[in-house]
Amino acid sequence: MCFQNLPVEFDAQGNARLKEGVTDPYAYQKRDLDRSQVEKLLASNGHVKDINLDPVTRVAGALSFHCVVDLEEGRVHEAHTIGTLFRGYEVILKGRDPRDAQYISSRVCGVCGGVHSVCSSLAMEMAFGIGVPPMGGVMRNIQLALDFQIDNPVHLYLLAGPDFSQVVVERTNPSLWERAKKTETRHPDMHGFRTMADLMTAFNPLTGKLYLEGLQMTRPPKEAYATLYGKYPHPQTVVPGGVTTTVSLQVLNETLLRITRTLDYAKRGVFIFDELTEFFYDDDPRYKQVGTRAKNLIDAGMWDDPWAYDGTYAGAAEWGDRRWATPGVVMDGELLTTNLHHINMGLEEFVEHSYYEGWEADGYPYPTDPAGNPLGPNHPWNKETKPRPDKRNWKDRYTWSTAPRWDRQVVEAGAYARMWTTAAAGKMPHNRFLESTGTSVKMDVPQTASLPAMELEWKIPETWNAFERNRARAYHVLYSLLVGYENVLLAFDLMGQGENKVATTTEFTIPRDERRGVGFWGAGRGFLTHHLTMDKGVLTNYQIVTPSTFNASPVDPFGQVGPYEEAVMNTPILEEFTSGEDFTGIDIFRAIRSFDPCMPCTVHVANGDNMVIRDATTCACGAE
Amino acid sequence: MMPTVVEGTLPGRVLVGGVGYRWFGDASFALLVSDALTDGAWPVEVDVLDLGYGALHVAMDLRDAKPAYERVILLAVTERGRAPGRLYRFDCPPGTPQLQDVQDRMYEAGAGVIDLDHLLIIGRHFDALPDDVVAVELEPHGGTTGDRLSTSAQALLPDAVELVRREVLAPARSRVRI
Repeated sequence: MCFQNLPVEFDAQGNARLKEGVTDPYAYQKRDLDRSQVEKLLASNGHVKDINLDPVTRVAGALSFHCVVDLEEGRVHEAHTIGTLFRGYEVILKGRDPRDAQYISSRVCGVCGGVHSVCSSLAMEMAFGIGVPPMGGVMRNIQLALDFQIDNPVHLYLLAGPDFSQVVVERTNPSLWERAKKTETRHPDMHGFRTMADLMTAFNPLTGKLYLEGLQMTRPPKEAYATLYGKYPHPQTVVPGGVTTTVSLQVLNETLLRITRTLDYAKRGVFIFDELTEFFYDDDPRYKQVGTRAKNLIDAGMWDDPWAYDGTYAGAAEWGDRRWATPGVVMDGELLTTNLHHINMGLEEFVEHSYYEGWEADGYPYPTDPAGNPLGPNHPWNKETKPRPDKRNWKDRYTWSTAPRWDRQVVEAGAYARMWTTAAAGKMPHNRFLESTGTSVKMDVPQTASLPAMELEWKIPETWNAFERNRARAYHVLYSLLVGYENVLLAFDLMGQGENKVATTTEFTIPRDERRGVGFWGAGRGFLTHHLTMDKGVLTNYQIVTPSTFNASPVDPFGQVGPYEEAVMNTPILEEFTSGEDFTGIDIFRAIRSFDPCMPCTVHVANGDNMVIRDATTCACGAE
Repeated sequence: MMPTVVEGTLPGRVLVGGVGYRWFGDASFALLVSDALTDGAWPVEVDVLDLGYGALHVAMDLRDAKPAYERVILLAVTERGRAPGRLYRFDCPPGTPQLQDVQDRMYEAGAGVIDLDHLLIIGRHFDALPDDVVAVELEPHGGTTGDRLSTSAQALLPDAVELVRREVLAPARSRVRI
C-alpha cells in the first residue's frame, strides 16, 4: 500500500501489520558518507574550496548553512545545514504537569507560538480523552487562519520578496532587469503595476510599496488575534478542550471586518506572485531548477470540522479527512495517503548525523500505536532526546537538528504541502468558498473593497521549485483567509443557535494512568506534531516535530540529504557575475528562502575569486 | 522579589521590557527579571512587559503605543565578549541604522528570532523607540540550558531588579518627544 521501505503491510481490511518473517523489522544499516569526490575536487581544483564558518557574530539565528560552490561550473558540490542551538524543550517538559506544555512549547519561537499551543492542546485532549465543543473548534480554526495572515505575508513580502526586487536583480542579473523594464504585466488592473520593473521595485527592502504594505497588513490580523485570543504571538487562552476566550457578536464582527479587509490584499498577492513566477520562467526556463527537488511533501492537516473532531486517536483517520486542510503524504507528485494513522506510522526521527545519543539500547516502549498499528523505535512516541555535544564532522555529526523521515524517505513541509495534499485529496468538506478538485483548490472569493468577486484556482504545479513554493504560499494566504471567513460565519450560526461554549464542560481530571497523545496540526510553515506520553499525572516524554525539523534536517543514516541541502545542490547558478567578488549567491538564497519562515537566510559571505561560503541563519523553531 | 515602590518624577511613560527566550537557561534571565518587576507596585506611567517575541512585531506594537513611551529600559542576555556573570548597563542612543543591517535583522526577526540588537535596530528604523533607551544586560556563561537559572545568574536577579528600578527613576536624559 503506501509504505515502500518500512516493514509494514496491510491485510484485506486495510489493517496494518508487520511483514511476516522479518526478524528485526526496523533494523537498518547506517551508510557511511563518502566525501572522497568532494575532497578530490578540493585537492585538485583551486577554484573549489571548502571552508566552514560558524554563525557569524552579529547574527542571532540558530542554524547555519554551509555549501561549496564551483563558480566555473556554476554548481553546488556540497551543502550542509547546521542547527547550532540546543533548546532542550523536550527535556524540560519531562516530569511536568502536561498542562504546562501548551505554554512552554509556545515559547519555542518568537512568532508562531499559537500553533504550538494548539498542537499541544490537541495532544493533551487525546491523552485526557476530552473533546472540544463546536464553538471552541471554530475559534481555534479562526485563530490559526489569522496567524497565517501574519506569517505568510511577512515571508512573501519582507523576507523572500527582496530577492526579486529591483535593487537585487539589477545587480545580480542586469539583463533580466532590462527585460523587466520592457515587460508589461498581465494583470495591471488587479495589482496596479504596469511593468515588471514597477512590480519588482515595489519589492525593494524597507522602501518598496509591497514591502511596506506587507508590514502594514500584518496589523488587521494581529488586531483580530489580540481581540479574540488576548495577545499575539503567545496566547494564554488556548487550553486542552478549547479556548478560554469570550466570544461576543462584537468581537466576531470586528474579526470579520479585518478578514474582509485582508481579503482584498490577499487577492492581489496571488496575481503578484503569478506575474513574478511566469516572468522568470519566460526569461530563462532554468529558473524552474532553482530550489528544485523531488515532489515529496508531507502535511498533518489542520482546521478541524468542529462536528467531526472528537480528539481520539481511533477516530483520527475519519476526523483528519474532514479537515479544511487535508493531511497527506505526496511522493513523486502522487498523493499516497491522507490517513493520519498512516502518516503517524510512517514517521521516524534519526540522529546519526546529529548531536544526540541513540536510545535503541534502552528498548522502546511502544511497538504499536493505540490502534494497533506497528511503530518502530525511531517513532516520536519511542524516541528520547539525549543531547551529546560533539565536534562538527561532515561525515559524522554536524547539527542539532534531527532527520525526520516518512517511510524512510525525505519529505519537505510547508504551507504549499498543505495546498498540495488538500488539492489532490478532493476531500475538503463542503463550504461556501473553497473546493478541492483533485488537481487544484478553487477559491470563490467574494467582492472586496477594490476588487470584484472572482474565482481563483491554485493548480498542482508541473515543476517543483523555489518559485512554486512562493506562488503556492501566496495562494495559501487567500486559502487560509477563506477558511477563517467560513469559520467566522459558522461562529455566527452557532451563536444564533445558542451554542456558545468555547471549552469542554466535561469534567475531567489529569489521568494518573499511562496515556499517549499526539497533536496533528500545522504552522504557517507547514507540518507540526507534538507527541506526548504521560504516567502518574506527569509527562514522561514529549517530542515536537516542526516543519523546520523536516526541512533543515541533515543527512539521514541512509545517505539521503535533507530538503534544504538537496534543493541547494540542485540549484543552477544563473546569476551574472565576472568574478567571485561580484557573486552574491542570489540563486542559492532564493532556493533556501523559498522554504519559508524558520529559514530566513542572513548573508555572510567570505568569497575569494572562485570560492563562496554561505552562512544562513534561522530561528530556533527547528531546534530540539 | 518585589521592587520597592517607585517614587519621584518620571520623564513620562516608561516601558521596562524583557527580551529573550523563556526556558533557556541563563538566556532567560531578562524575562525572569521582567517577571519579578511585574510584581512591583509601579506608577501608572510604568509598564513592565514581556517582549520575548519577534522584534518586528515588538517594534510595531511600540510604535502604536499611545501616548508614546518616553523612556524604554530593555533587559537582555547577550554574549558580547565581556566578563561573564556580570550585569552591564548601557545607553542605546538614537541613530539611523544602515538599511542593509536593518534588512539582515528583519530576516531573522520575521522568522521568530528574539534578540536585543534586532529590536534596537529594527525599532530605530521604524521610529518605534524614544531617544531615551537603556539596556541592562547579563553577559552569560555559555552553555546553560534548561528551565532554571544557574546559581550565579539567580544571585544577580535582585541586583538587576534594583538596577532597573534606578533606571526608571533616573532624571530625564533627553528631550521628551511630543
